Amino acid sequence: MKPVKVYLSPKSVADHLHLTEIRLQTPEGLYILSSQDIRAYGREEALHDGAVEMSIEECKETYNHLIER
Amino acid sequence: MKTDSAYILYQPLSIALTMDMLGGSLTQRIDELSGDFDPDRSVTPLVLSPHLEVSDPDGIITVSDQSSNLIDCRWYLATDDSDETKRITSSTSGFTLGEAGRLTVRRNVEDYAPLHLYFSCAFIDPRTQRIYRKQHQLTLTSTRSADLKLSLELDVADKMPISPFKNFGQRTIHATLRNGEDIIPIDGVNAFCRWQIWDKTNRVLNVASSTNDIFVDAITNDSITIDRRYIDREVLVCEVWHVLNPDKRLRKRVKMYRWYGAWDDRCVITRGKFVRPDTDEFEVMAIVDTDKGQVVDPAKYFDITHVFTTNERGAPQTVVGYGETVVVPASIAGKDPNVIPVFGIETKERTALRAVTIGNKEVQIDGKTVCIQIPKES
Repeated sequence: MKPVKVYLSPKSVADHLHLTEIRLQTPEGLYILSSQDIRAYGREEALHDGAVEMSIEECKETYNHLIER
Repeated sequence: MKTDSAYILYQPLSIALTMDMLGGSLTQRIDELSGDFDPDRSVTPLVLSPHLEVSDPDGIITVSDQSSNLIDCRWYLATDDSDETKRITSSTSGFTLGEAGRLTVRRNVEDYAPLHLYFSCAFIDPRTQRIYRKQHQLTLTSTRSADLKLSLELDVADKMPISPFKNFGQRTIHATLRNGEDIIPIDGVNAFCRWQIWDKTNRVLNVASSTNDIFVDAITNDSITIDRRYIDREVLVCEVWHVLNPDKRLRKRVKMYRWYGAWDDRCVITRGKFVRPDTDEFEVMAIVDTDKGQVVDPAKYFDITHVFTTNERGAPQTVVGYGETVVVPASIAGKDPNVIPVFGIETKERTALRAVTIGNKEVQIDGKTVCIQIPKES
């Protein structure tokens, strides 16, 4: 695993952080949040609430079509 | 007609422009190990949203947040608006312009190239139609840092007893460096390793070398191959450091020592136990027992000396042979039935192989060092 991670988070977490407008949403309805984003919510709490950790590399490979250049 | 004019006067507005940062900050971190940006703005962009706070002393403009009424919003990749070619447009890669001057930044900034952004906007005073212009300048930067949580592992226990009955030959010890769960290759590029041996005489650590240390057969970037036949008691220290933090050295120590375990010796007269006139020789055998059983071919591991004496007071102890078995003529016991022949053994552990030296120089034959094992005094 790479040290830099993103979090595929359920809408409830993104809503709580008021980030639904500015974060990418995956076809599965999850929001891609950064580790800085998640810090305010609490990493452990976010994972408990359904967020999934993913390396930047994996995220780019999986959701490359969503990422604007 | 005589006239007189009245004047409509408003007190000037107090206007403050600030920049809200959503989903990040002006600074990113670049991970030295992976090269990843944290946060990576291409995945989780930074949104810069101008915020205009208006205060009307006359109280006509009641809503202080006038951000949505900003006009003529312009962003520049510069520290001012003097160069129109540096203006951010819809075709500028890595940026998206939004409503009311909102800018989405998807560009990551290298640490050696800070990115200056300049924002300019206007606001029309609804009371007077006077135009107020405001500007804001900011700089996006990055810092490089390594998130190192290093740990060192050796594929050997801290204490390594070397049984002379087994474990003969070579043993390769590997070092593994981890950052968290990730393995960092000790390849002389990402991380370095140094094997050291404790010098008991001078009480210093010396760098191990296959040339100078007889028990060291080979050293690679991340391993050392030792020959256990040559080890009596050595302390090996593995020192590893990451290229990004050479001051932080991780060390592991391995104590290696020759260890016979518990053993006991006895001697048995296998021939000549009962001496008759036709008995012509004695055969005496040395037996060594360990907790794992009887040692096969004990002379291979022990220095065994056979001694003969009698039950007579002051009888001399005579060495009659060495090794597992000795055969001596029966005449050694004499003819007197009152004099009881007694055989005994003295068993000593042996040291590991040691180089034979003459005048502090190793003796070599055909380029190979001559070695011996010496009986250990208990």
